[in-house]
Amino acid sequence: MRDTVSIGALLSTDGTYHWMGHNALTGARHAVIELNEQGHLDFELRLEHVNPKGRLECYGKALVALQSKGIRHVFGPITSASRKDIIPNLEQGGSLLWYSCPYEGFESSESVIYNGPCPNQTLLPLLRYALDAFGGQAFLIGSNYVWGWESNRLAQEVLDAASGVVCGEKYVNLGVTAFAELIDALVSQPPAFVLNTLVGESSHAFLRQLDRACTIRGLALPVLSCNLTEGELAGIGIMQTLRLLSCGPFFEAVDPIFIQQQYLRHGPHPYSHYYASTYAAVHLFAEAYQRSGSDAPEAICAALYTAPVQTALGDLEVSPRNNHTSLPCYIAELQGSQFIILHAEPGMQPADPYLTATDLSEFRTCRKLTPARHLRIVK
Amino acid sequence: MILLKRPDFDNGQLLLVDCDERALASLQKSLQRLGIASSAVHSDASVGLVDVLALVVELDHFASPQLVSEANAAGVPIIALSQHETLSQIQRGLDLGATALLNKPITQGSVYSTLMMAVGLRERLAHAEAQSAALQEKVASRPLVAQALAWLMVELDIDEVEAYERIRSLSMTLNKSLEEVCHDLTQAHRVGQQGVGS
Repeated sequence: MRDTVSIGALLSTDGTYHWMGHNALTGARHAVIELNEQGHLDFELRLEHVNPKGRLECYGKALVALQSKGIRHVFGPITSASRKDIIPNLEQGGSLLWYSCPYEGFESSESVIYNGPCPNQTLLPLLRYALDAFGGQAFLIGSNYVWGWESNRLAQEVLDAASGVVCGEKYVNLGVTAFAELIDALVSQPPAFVLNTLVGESSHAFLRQLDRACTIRGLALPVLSCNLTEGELAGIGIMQTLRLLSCGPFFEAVDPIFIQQQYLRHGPHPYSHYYASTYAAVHLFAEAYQRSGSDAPEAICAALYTAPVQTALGDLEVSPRNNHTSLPCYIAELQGSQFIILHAEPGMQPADPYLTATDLSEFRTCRKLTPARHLRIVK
Repeated sequence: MILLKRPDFDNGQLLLVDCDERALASLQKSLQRLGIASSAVHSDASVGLVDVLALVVELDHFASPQLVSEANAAGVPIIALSQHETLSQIQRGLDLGATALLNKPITQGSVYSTLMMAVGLRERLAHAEAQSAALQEKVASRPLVAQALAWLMVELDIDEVEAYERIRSLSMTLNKSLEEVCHDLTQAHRVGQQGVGS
């Protein structure tokens, strides 16, 4: 009989960003089911889920609850604010967090495996694409916490290097859905593109309201995001005129065969990058446990560093220098209810969380910016 | 070199501004061990700054712009507190006038060194600001000195070097600054001109 290894999922399936939490949790569950069924591992996985309901003050207690059951490996959470909040508990309890969401960088904890992309793996390629395609006048909107602040600060730095212009910047608290005044301003003097770092319900409401306003004016305004996935399309609805571009390590269109397999096995789900990254993270853990025969975080990390692991995102390599994963990077545009891949960065992109190896002066080559042009619908 | 002096911890306290429960508990415990008194304030509560040695301002829950503005005007050192290492937070701290950043989780070893760094840099900034203001004043008074020199050269039929030497010598005799002497001379000249014309 095989040993059972318990792992935890610290993911909010209620609250303002529950779509992302659901997607990530489904990815973890599917990975556990499949790995247990395949039977090639020396152990069986058991997934224990706790739901902090999107309330920041609940994450610490939820983590301690998992730790008190002897769980040392936790998958989640979604926001940087909640990840930051639990790092002291992780360090104190000798646990390892498997974080699979895009985040703003500037972190390198020994208690975290960063399986989600940081800005050099998402935002910078996306901005490079947008500056070439749309021009250099940008409006920045974000949720009022570190993800929005830092992503938009970096965007400002990039725009500055490219001689672009930040037309405006706005932050709203999580859960805010009233954008009428802002949208009036945006459609009356449209920028070349909007960078949207809003999260959850705020993002959905903003996109729906902006799409309505743009449709009235026949304005195909591009809106860029690094956290918009298939998992949120139900919350957004069908866009009429807005051009939604997103960037991430996975979209359904990247690997139709994998999607077909998952569909046949588990039924219809949004197979977003939250899903695929968490699914891949469980595979990374299982392979590392198989290699090391121990669930001690140091042994798991050491085993991970030795060789890449084959996953749904490709052959993933975790850097022993900063615990970040090299990831693929795709830029996609929403067309109907599907993201279509517009661009893929070549190969796996190593993470540079502190941007110490990233030269932003390359954006100077984008200085011959095309003037902002918006397609208008002619009836 | 500006000597970094120990603040008057016996008669002063730190203000812990907009800190969340966890940070507050951690800071209070740490400050108690250091023998430094502290008070917690939230959301621009009205407090006097007379006995305040420094402010520790949590950026992640910041809601006291007025208090921070008053502290800056009074030259009270500010320490930004954040759980983020991001440049946006560092910039935010600088914009609020912070001269040091304390990162969460707070460790016992980091509180005193961060506090003293904030105090020391605040002093250096104040010194540099005072120097800059004095130099600006000197630059602003250059036209006045030129006027006084020109008047002396014309009135006494002397060259520029001698005119300057006379002003300098007057300055030393009267124990007044060069600018003050020039001010007095130009004033006297104006009064004389008005007298002639009337």
